[in-house]
Amino acid sequence: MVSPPALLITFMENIRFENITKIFGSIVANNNVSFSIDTGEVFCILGENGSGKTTLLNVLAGIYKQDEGRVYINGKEVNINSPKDAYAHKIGMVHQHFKLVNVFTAFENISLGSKTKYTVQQVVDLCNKYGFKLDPFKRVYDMSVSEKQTLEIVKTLFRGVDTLILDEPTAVLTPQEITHLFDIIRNMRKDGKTIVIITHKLNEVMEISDRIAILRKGEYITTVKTSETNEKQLAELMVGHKIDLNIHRSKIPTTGVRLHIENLSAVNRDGETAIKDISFDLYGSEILGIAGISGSGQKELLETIAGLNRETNGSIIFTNPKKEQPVTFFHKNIKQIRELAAEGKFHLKDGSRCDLTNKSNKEVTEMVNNEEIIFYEDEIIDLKYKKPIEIRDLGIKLSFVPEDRLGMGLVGSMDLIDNMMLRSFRKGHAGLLDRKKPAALAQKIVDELEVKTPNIHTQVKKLSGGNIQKILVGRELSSRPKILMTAYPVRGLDINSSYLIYNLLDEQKKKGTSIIFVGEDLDVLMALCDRLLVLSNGHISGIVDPTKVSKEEIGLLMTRG
Amino acid sequence: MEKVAVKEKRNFRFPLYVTKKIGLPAWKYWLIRIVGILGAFLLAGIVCTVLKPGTFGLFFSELFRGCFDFTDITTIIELLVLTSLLLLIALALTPAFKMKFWNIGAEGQILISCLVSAGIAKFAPSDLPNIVILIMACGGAMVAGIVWSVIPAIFKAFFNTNETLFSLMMNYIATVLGGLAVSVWIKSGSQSFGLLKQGIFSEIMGSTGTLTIVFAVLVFILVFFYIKKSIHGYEVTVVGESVNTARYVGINVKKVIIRTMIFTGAIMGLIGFLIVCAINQTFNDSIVGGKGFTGVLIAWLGHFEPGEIALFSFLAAVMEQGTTTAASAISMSSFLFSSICTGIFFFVIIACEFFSSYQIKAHHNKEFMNYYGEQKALRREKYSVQDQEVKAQYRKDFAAFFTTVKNAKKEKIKAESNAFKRFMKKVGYALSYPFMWIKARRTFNKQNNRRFSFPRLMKNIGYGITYPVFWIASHIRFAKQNKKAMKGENV
Repeated sequence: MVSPPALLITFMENIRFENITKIFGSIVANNNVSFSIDTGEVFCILGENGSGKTTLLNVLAGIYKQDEGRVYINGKEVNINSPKDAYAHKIGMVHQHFKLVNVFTAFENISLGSKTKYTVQQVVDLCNKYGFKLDPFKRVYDMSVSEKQTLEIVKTLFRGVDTLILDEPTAVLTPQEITHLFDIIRNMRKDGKTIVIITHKLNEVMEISDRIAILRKGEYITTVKTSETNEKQLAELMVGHKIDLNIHRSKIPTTGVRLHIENLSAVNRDGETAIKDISFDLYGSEILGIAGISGSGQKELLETIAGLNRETNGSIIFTNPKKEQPVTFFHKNIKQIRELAAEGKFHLKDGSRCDLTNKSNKEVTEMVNNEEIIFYEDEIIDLKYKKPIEIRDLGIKLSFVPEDRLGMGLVGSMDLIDNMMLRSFRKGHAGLLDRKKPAALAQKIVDELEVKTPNIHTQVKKLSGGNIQKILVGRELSSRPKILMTAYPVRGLDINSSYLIYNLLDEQKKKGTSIIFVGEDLDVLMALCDRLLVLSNGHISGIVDPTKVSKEEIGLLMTRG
Repeated sequence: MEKVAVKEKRNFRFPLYVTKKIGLPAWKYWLIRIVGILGAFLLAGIVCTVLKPGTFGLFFSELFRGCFDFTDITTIIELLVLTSLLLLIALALTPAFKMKFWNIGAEGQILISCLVSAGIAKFAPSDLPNIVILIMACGGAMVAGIVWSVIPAIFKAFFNTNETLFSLMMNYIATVLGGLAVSVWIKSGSQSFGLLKQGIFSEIMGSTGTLTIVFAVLVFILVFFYIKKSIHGYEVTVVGESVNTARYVGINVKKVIIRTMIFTGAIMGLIGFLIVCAINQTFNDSIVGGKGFTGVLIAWLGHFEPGEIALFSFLAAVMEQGTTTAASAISMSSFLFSSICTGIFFFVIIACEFFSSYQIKAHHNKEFMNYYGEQKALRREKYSVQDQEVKAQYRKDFAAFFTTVKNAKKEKIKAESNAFKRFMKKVGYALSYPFMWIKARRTFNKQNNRRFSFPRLMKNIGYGITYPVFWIASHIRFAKQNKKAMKGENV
């Protein structure tokens, strides 16, 4: 027998999907998807969030069972009912959320659930072969995200897989770690393994893959060779129409310090120190980006500023730009105005000192209504130990778009109107709710931000991620905030909605708002932000100008102990 | 490195699987519920027939008579009082449940209020006017109810204890206190607490509890506005949906938990007061009789919506009162029988909740369906041993006989002079149709000397029962055959 030429072996068909359909209730996750993956290639599956990439590969890995369609491996139809079956066909998957036992060591995690006994030497040999950096005796809870991922990959390789599926492997890694991972992937390809990568990041796809399959809204669009395409074409295929991939960063001069934070430390819910000795200034009309590996204290920092975390050290000083502005009854009552006047905080229109001691309440009310009492200087308020409600009562317009949209920012089972009320429900009369203003606001947000919803009485959880985020951001912006804090505002959003959010933030910046933007995509952070604060392990490892540093330098800052 | 041998591929999977139903339209959901409610009543009738054969029709006519006897206003008032009581309990629980505070201590909270109002009514100075005693009893009961429901709330708010266990345990304390009080209060010689002589409502329209209906309507309106329109109700909903969100918007979660349980406790106190001073006018330690737990079920089935809760309170009341009347008519223990029937009612409706959110589906497999069709045809053939013509003739004859039986019964009903009884008989006739059919069939067999054939009966029953089993069995057989065929190919 004559052996086939080497090239033919390399590009032999390995896995073929035929008309795969998977339906969850009324949602069609995959509709008639058919394509094939060759042996020994790095194959990317590209699509926006919710386009059914993970579902499709979960069918291959035995997590789900397809409703219709067939899977062929090496030309034979197979029936994969469980991950065990998948391993039997030499297919292994590394999920986005790792499935490891926290209290076990790396070696124990590898040995777990397999019938044959391994030695530590075997693990070390395998790591050397492909270039993994892994300490077999380190316990999982001591590991960083990147180490955990390495362990997952090694664990899967030890099951003897030939096809390795990686679900969004770069989402949680620093640029250096990504480079390292790509080196390993190339090593594995040299060894004849097939690697399938699920991702939505275009630049990484262009860097690593041989071929790319594109999914859009559960439908298979096409497969392209990486050498014959470019990022722009991929983006168009992915979204379905032409899009502008440039993030707009308007250049306007910043105004004075809005928020002064000094030596701020805080603990997380478990009582561990989450942030320590954070000091920075936030200026008006700027976007301050916060970069860092997830879990470096971003969430705690924002929650501490918003008054949700009470056990803190250090100071948070807010400067309310009130100079030369008249005082209003909106957030100050007569008693407070009298007290502040006694302290000399106000002056009158003609510049003379404001003395209210001999005036009756009626006169003071009249003066306030005629805008006669004017702030002498900016109002300076210490936010430390203040609850969210106290912060609101002080008239500090501080908005917070939390990371957890439905668990914190909004209530999923309530309709749009009731969600609009979350910030303003106390403004009712005689203990009863006023739903008219929130309804008008909801309608306004739906119209202005183009929220796709049947009507404003729909439950929020029934909308898509992008629309939910639009509602949350719209509500937080509706109070015309002085400071806006956003945590991962585009997580899980499609490209269109992401760019809409970026533009909204930029517009807010133009209006003078100070914005804190916590993001995970370094490219976006560098394109959008005026300054970039890098958090590492709960403290600031650097505040840099994104136009002057490279991605790699920021990556180094992110991992600096 | 481990080498895993590629296993034989398995072609068999369990033919049925459960998936979630998403986007069920409201009318379908209610259709399922209505079918469930009717099914519950039917099942209760069947249980009745099993216990006392031949009482299927009687059960329904008595059930109806016990609740909606238009000749006697007292039955309807009593039904409404029972409905109001269940409604009040479920409404009292609703705000707490909306907050996801699973208070199952309604029984104890009401019992302790009953105890306090009974004590006040019994030992109040007799020269006070009745209305003052009533107000005192009501106030005392409310305080007792508030104390009993706030204790778990305080522990939940400050120490994060489990409110379900806590409130359940409070029930037992209340029962012991109730028993203790009765044994202390009763004078030696007499066996029971005796009827209250002061601090009671007088009889209106044949029942002392008539005012309960008014209170229920008032509390219904109050709870409706509290949940839907008030700021408090809004806070309760936010806390229930997500404590994180509540903290984020600056709601004081501890305050909301305690405040809501005070609201619940006040209504619980009112219920206890009504039970002692209006409805029963006496006291013992089992005076609540499990209604506290029924209320929990009703609140759940009504999805914490006051309107739905009212509906289910009414249905549960119909079931309880109707079956009590029916039990006495067919000489059974009324308490036991009505408990069984109420149990059936809730069981069936809760099962409906399952079917409205999940569906059982079969895997699609064309090859298998073809195979299954063949097997089915073979099986049919096997059992159709009789001559087809003889069978057809028999069917015709029986149809004619059944028509005469039906007509005879209809004539009998027509001859009935009392319009109400005639109506009830008609209902019974409709419901007992399948049993009539079986009876007619047996008579017809006897008349035609068609011997009773046990195999034939078993065949008919068996075919019906084993239908799903057979379906699965043939699936397994199909898988096996398929596997063999695959092996044959490989060799």
